[in-house]
Amino acid sequence: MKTRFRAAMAQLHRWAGILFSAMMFFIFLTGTVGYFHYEIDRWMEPERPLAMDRQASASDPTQTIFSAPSAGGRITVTQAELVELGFRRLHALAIQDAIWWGVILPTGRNGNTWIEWQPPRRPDGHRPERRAEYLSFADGEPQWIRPRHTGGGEALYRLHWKLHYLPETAAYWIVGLCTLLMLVGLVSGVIIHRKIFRDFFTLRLFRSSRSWLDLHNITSVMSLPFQLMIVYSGLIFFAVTFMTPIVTAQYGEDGARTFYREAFPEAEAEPKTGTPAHMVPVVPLLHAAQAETKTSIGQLYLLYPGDKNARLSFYLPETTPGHYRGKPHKILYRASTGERLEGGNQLYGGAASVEKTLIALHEGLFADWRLRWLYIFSGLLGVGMIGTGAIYWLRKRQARDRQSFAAVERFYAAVLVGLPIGIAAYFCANRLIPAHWSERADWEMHCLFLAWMLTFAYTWLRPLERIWRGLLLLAATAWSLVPLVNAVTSNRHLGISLANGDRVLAGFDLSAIAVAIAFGLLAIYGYRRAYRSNGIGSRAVAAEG
Amino acid sequence: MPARLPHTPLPLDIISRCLAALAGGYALSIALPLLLALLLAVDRAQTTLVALLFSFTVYTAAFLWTFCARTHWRAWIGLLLPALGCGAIDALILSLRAGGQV
Amino acid sequence: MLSVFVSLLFAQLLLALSMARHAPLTQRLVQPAAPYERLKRGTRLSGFGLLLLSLVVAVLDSGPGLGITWWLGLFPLSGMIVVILLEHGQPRSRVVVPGRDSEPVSGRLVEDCE
Repeated sequence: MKTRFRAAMAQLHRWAGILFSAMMFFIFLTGTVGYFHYEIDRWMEPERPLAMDRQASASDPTQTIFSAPSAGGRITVTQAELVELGFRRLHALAIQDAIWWGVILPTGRNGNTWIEWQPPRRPDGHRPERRAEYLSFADGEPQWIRPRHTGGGEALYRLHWKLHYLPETAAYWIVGLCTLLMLVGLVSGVIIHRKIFRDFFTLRLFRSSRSWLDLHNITSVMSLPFQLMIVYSGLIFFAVTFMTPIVTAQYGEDGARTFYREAFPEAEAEPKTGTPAHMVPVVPLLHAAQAETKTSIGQLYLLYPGDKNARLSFYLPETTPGHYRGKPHKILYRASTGERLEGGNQLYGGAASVEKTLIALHEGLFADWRLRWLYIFSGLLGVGMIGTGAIYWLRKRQARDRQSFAAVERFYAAVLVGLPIGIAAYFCANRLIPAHWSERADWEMHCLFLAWMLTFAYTWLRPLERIWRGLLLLAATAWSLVPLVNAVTSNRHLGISLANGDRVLAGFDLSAIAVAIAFGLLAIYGYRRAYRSNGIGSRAVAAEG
Repeated sequence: MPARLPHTPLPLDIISRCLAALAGGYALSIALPLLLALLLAVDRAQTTLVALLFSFTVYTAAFLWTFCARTHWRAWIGLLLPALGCGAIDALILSLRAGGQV
Repeated sequence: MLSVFVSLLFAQLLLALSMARHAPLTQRLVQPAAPYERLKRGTRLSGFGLLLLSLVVAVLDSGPGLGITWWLGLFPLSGMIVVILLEHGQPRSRVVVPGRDSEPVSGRLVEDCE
C-alpha cells in the first residue's frame, strides 16, 4: 500500500512538473531577480547621481551628515538640509493637485535623495505613474534630475506575478495555479523521497548517471524550509482573490473592504477638504519624531499637499524588528498645524500578524543586503531545483533513445537558458534605447521577450547535440556585454562606481560579470565533454552536453 | 499506479483526477476552513484570516488525495462528500446567525 | 547571526555524520570506537537539537520575522558547505552502497528514490 501511495505521489509530482515547470521556472527566476529591484532600478536610471553616504551620525538625527560626490570632491550636507531642499523643490514645482508628495533620504539600497509625487487620476480614469526627481550635487550646487523613463527592476519584479502581455486576471489565475501546484510538487517530492534524510548530504557529481537526480535532490532538500515558506507565503497573496467565498460568507457580497479594515486596522486618513492651507515647517516635526522613536527616519510623505487636512507621514525603516509587534511604523502629523495624530501603529491580532509576517518573509521586507544575498542564494537553489528536475526527467526518457523527445529538449533548453539571456538583453536595451524615447520602457521589455524568442529559434535551427553548449556560450556573451555596454554608453560604469564607492552600481556590474563567468564555465564544461572523446561513441558523449 | 476501473482509459483517468482536484479541492478548501472559522467563537476578522491561511493546506491535501485514491470515482467522492457536508453545516450556522440577529 | 550560522553548520555536520554513508568517517573521528548504532543515534539527536537551538537563538535575537528569515537563508548555505566538505574533501574510500551508487538509472522515479 505504501509503495502504491508513493507511486501515486511520483506520478503527481511528475505530471505537475511536466506541465508547469517552465512557468514555475519563470516565476522563480523573476522572483529571485526581484529581490534586488531597487538596486536594479538605480542601475537602469544612469542619470541618477552617484550614491550619497552617511558620513557621520549625530545625537540629533536631523544633523546627520551625508556626503555627496561632486565635481570638486565630496560635499557634506545634513539630513535637515536635504529635507528642506526636497520640500522647497516640491513647492517650486507647484504640483498642487498631486495626491501625495514624498521626500526620500539616502539609504544603503538607494543612495540617492529624491522627491516623488503621484499625479491625480485623469478624467478618463487612468492613473498616471508616479514621478520622481533626484538631487544631485555633481556641479557643486543642488540640481534636480529627471532620469530616463524605464520600467527598471520594478518591471522585472512585476513579471513575477503579473507575467506580461496577459490581462491581469488571467495572469493571477495562472500564477496562482502554478503556485498551488508548486506546493503540491514540494510535498509530493518529500513523500516520494522516502530516504530523504539519507540523501540530504549526498551529491555525486560527474560520477554516475544519477548526477541529475542528485543535483535535483540537493537543491530541493537543502533549501526545503525556504521553498516551503516561499511557496506557502506566495499563496497567501492570492488568498482573498481565490478563496473569496470564505470572506463573503461572513462579510457579504462586497465585504472584502470591511474585512480588510477589521483585520488590519489602520488610522484612516481624513478626507481632502478642498480648503487650501499652508504647511508648517517640517524639520522641527522630523526632529520630534526621531527623538520619540530613537531611529533615523528615511521617508517623508505628505498626503493631500496644500489642503487643510494634509497629513505628514514619517516612515520608520523597515529593517526595524518589532515592526508588527505594536511599535509604530509611521509617525503622523497634521501638516497645517503640526499636531501629532493617532495611528501608525500596527497592532494586529494573532492571525493578522501571522499573515503579515508571512508576506514580509516572502518579500524579504526585513532583509539588509547580507540577508538579501541569502535570499538570492536560496532563490537560485529553487531555480536549480526546477531546472534539474526537468532535465532529470528528460534524460530518463531519453535513456534508451537519445534522439527521442527532441522537441521537448529544445523547448527546455530555450526556456532554462533563454530567459537569463532575455534578462541580459533587457539590461542592454536599457542602455541602447535612446533616453528620450517615450515608449522606451515598453520596448525594453519587448527586447527581453524578443531575445528569449530568438533563443527558441536558435534551438530549432541547430542540431540537437549542440544547442546546450551553444546557448550557454550565448548566455555568457550576453551577460558579459552588460557591463561593457554600460561602459560605452554611460558614465556609471565600473571605473566610476568603484572610484566613488557606489556599492550598488558596482555590485550590479560585478554581479553581471559573475553570472557571465558562471555561464562561461558551464559552456566550457559542455564543450570539453563534447570534444574529449573524439573517437568511438563521441556522438553519444557529445550528446550528453 | 493506483488501480483504475478496467474500462477507464488512462488519459480520462488522469483528467478526471485533475478535475476532481481542481473543482472538488476548491469546494473542500472553502467549506472546511469556513466551518473551522464559524465554529471558532472569536471575532470574524481573525477567524476569516485563519480560514484563508488554512485553505491552501486543504487544497494541497486534496490534490494529493485525488492521486492516491484507488479509483478516480473515489477521488471525486472523497472530496465532494465532505465538501457538501461541511457546506451544509456552514449554511446552517450562517442562517442561524442571520436569523438570531434579525 | 554568526552564532546562528556556526550552530547551523555544526548541526548539519552532525546530522550528516549520523548517516550510513559517512559511517567510516564518523567512526574514525570518534575515539574510542563506540558501537555504530549508539553513535548514529547520538549524532542524530544532537544534530537535530542543535538545529532547533539555532532557530530559537535566531528568533530570540531578532524577533520572529527577522529571525526566521535569517535562519531560512543560512540553512541552505551551511548545508551546501557541509555537502562540499564531505563529498569532495574526503579520500575516495567511502562505503559504496550497493544498488545505489552503481546501478544505471532504471526509468522508474520511485525506484530511483529508494
